[in-house]
Amino acid sequence: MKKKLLLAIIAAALSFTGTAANAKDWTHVKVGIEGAFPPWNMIDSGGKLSGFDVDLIQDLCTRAKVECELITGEWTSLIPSLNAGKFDLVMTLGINEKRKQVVDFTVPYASGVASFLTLKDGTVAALPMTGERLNLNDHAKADPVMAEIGKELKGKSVGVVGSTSQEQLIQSYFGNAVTVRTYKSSPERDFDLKAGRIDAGFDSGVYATSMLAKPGNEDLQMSGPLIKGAMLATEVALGTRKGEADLREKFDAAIKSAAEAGVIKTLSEKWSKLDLTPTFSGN
Amino acid sequence: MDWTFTLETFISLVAAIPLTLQLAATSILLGAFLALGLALLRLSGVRVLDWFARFYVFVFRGTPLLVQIFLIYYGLSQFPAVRHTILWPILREPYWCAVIALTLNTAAYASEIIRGGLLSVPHGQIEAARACGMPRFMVFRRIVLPLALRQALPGYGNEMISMVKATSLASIITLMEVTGVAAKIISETYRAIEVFIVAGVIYLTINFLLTRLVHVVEYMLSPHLRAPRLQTPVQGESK
Repeated sequence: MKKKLLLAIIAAALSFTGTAANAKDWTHVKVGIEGAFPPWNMIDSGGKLSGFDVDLIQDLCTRAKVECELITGEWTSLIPSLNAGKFDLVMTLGINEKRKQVVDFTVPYASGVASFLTLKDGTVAALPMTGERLNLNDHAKADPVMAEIGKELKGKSVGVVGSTSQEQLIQSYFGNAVTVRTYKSSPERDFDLKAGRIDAGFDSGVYATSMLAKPGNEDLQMSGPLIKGAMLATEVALGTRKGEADLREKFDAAIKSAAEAGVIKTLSEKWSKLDLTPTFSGN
Repeated sequence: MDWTFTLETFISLVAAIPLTLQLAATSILLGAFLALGLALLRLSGVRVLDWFARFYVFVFRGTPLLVQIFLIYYGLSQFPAVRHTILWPILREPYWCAVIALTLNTAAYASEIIRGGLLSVPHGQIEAARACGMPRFMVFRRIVLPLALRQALPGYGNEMISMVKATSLASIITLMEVTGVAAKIISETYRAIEVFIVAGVIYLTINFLLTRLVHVVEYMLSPHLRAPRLQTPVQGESK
C-alpha cells in the first residue's frame, strides 16, 4: 500500500515536471559561455565578456525577444551544466555526432574552416590549394587533394588539440600515414611546432588567423586548403538540452534572420577577419 | 553505472598501463641511483658536495612536479641553443622529458630517505666490520648499504607509490598514459564518473601489487627480526 502511494507520488512529480518544461514560457534564458576562447569569447582587460559570441548572442536574444544572462564556465563543464539545468543554452559548440547524443543543436550560427599550420622553411613542403576553400563532402574535388596532402605528410607528425573534430579528421584521413600527437591546448601545440618536435599542426582557421597575427609567431604559416565538411565540427551552433524544442526553434529563427540581415558577416569580420556566415540548406 | 561503457573504458585504459608502468619503473630505477649518489654527497663531509646536494634537494623538493615537467618539456625547447645540442634527440621526445622530470624529482625525495637509512646504521656494526679487517668499500657494500636499505624501505615504498601516481602528470606533455587516455574518453563522452572510477581502480591495483612487493622485499631483508625457525641440531655443532 505504502509502495503504491510512493509510486503515485513519483509518477505525479514526473508528469508535473514534464508538463512544466513543455509549457515553459521563455523570457529569461541563461547562456553558458567559456570566456577563454578568443576571438569567439574572452574576458577583456576591463573584466567584461567580449568577443564575436557576446556581440552575436545579444543580437540573437533581441531577435528571439528573450532576456539573456551570460554565465561563464570551464569549457569541459559547459555541457554537463547544461544538462544539469544550470544553463539553457551553450555557445560555441561545434556540431558533431558525439555531441548530438547528449545535446540538441540549433542551426549553425557560424561556419568556420580548419587549416594546416607549418613552420616556414620547415620539414613540410607547401601543401596544395593554400588559402582556397575545400569542402570534403565534395568527394570528386576533395579526395585527390587530400591524397596529395597525405603523400606530403607521410611519416611526419601532426599536432592537434585532443578531443576536437580536427583530431578526428587527421586520424581518419591520415591516421595510418602520420603520427598524431594530441595536446591540451593550441598554444602548447604551437610551442612544439616552433621547436620542431612536430612537423605540422591542424586547427581551426579562426584560431590560426588570430594566432598568426600575434607577435612571436612569425615563423609559422597556414598551409593547404581551408577545409570544411566530413567530421569537422566547423559548423558552430548553440546547444540546448534534449527536447527543448521551443527554445531551439526560437533561436533557429533568430539565427536565420541575423544571417539574412548580414549581422553575422559584419560581426565575424570584425572579430576574426573571416566571413563565417553559415549556409542553411544541407551542409 | 552503464556496464558496457565501463567495460569499454576499462579495455581502453588497460592498453595504457604499460606506458604508466614504464614511466614509473624507469624513473624509480634511475632516481634510486641518483638518490644514492646525492645521499653520499650529503654525507661525504666535503662542504662543496654537501651544499650542492642540499641545494638540489631544496630546488626539486620545493617546486611542483607539474612545473618541472612543463619547464623541461616546453621551457628548454624554447632556446634554439638547446635544439642544436647533442641532447636534443633525447629532449625532443616527450617520453624522455617525462622520465627526466620524474627522475630528478624522485631523486630529491629519495636521497633524504636513503640518508636517513644510512645514518641509522649502528656504529657498532661498522666497527665490528672494520675489526674483521674489511676495507672501506666492502664495509659499505656488505654492512652499511643492506642495513640502510632495510631501514629506508618503508619510507621508500611511500615514495614509489607517489611516483606511480605522479606519472599521471605526463599526460600534459602529450603522453597517453592511463590518465591521458581517461581524460580523452571523458572529453569525448562527457561521462566523468565511470571513467575516473575505472582509472582509480587501475592505480589502486598497481599500487596494491607494489606495496605487496615492497612487503616481500622487507621480509627478505629482515631475517634478524623474526623468531628463528626450529632446526634439528647439526652434528658437530659444538666444534
